[in-house]
Amino acid sequence: MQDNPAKDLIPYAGQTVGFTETFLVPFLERQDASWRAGDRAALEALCRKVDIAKKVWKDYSPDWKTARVKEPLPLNWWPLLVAAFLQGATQAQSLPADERPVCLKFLNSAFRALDLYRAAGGKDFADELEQWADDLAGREIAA
Amino acid sequence: MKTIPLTVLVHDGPMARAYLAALRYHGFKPERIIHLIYENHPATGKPVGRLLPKAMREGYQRKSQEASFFHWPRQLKKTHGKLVAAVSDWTAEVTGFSKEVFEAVLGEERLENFAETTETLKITNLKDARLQKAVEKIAPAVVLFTGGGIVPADLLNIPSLRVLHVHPGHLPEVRGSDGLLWSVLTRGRPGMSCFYMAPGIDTGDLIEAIDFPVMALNLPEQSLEDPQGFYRVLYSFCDPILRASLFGRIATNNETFVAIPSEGQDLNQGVTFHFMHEKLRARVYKKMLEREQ
Repeated sequence: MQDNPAKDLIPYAGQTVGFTETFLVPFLERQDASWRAGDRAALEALCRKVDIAKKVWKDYSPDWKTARVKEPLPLNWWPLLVAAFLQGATQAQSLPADERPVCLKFLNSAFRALDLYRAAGGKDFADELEQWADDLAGREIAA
Repeated sequence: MKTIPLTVLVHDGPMARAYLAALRYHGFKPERIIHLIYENHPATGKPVGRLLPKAMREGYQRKSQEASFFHWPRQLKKTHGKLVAAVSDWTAEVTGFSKEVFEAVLGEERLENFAETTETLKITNLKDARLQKAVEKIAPAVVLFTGGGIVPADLLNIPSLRVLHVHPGHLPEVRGSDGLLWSVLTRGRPGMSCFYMAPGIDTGDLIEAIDFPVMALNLPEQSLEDPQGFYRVLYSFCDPILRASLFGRIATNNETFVAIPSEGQDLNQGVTFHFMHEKLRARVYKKMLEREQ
């Protein structure tokens, strides 16, 4: 799963709407190592939702400040969210040294999102995603 | 003891006491302490001593607050003695502070001993109009903010008032929560930064940012068996003392507190971190135990 999370996770998520459709799926499908405009800002905004608000809604305004669809993110979409943090963390490993610490911020949110997913009863892909996060953390901290 | 033109806004606890003890260590006494007494319990948010007669209520609120804010350092000293000693030893080594500074974080000394004058102020939170009014009254002034959380913009915008704060991370690189841990994780060592507060998280004009030596705690691996205890020891006996060490140095170099040189931060630089997940914390603690080869 580590090489291509989207392959397994996108069909599992089923029909996606809101930011999962406009951001998560395209982000995961791209599978490239480069950042595109808005990627980092989107992931940082999602970090705030997960780490501070501990709630993620189905959709947000383009600046991520207001919930556009105030319904909780369905459980089957959470693995996508975790994978996006992990892909973001992987991409951040190629950033210049002074920007690279954002990798650990995304990893941190991946662990938190996994906790929230499990607390809500989510099981599918959780162990694999956690293993991916552990491996990435080990490599990043040793680097 | 030399009186310095500084008001310390005391959110009582290890942090405030460390600052005050560090100033005393350097031979300084702030001209004023404003001791904040919270009418609501910090953990439950419920009014404290609501049913008591007014005359007894304030004393009870003060006692209750003291018991709550100093609970962990006092408790940890009894239950995690070796851990506290190892963390304090390393912190003493890098700051040069005497044991009196470390004892101060237990909050057993009267607050009044640390400043020329001490006034208490009952508030519900930092947005309380009584706090705004009290601070407006002392302006022009330089105030040291010793608590956590967000200081309201209205307070920071009071004309001729400068609010100082020490953040436990090297700015502009490490902003946000758990700065001590994120500094060790991303830069390999603790860092501290003193700045003039501005609306926004750790974004004000920077006075000084420093890195401390790599942490090498003299402890066995078994010390990590109680990660929550480890976390609390760091935040009781290391983080406050390192902050106070930087502030003591700044006070020594700028005794008048007038126009301390500062520089705007590049807000595009650095990362704003959130509270660290236990899994990453565990890796940080391991790093803290690693000996330099």
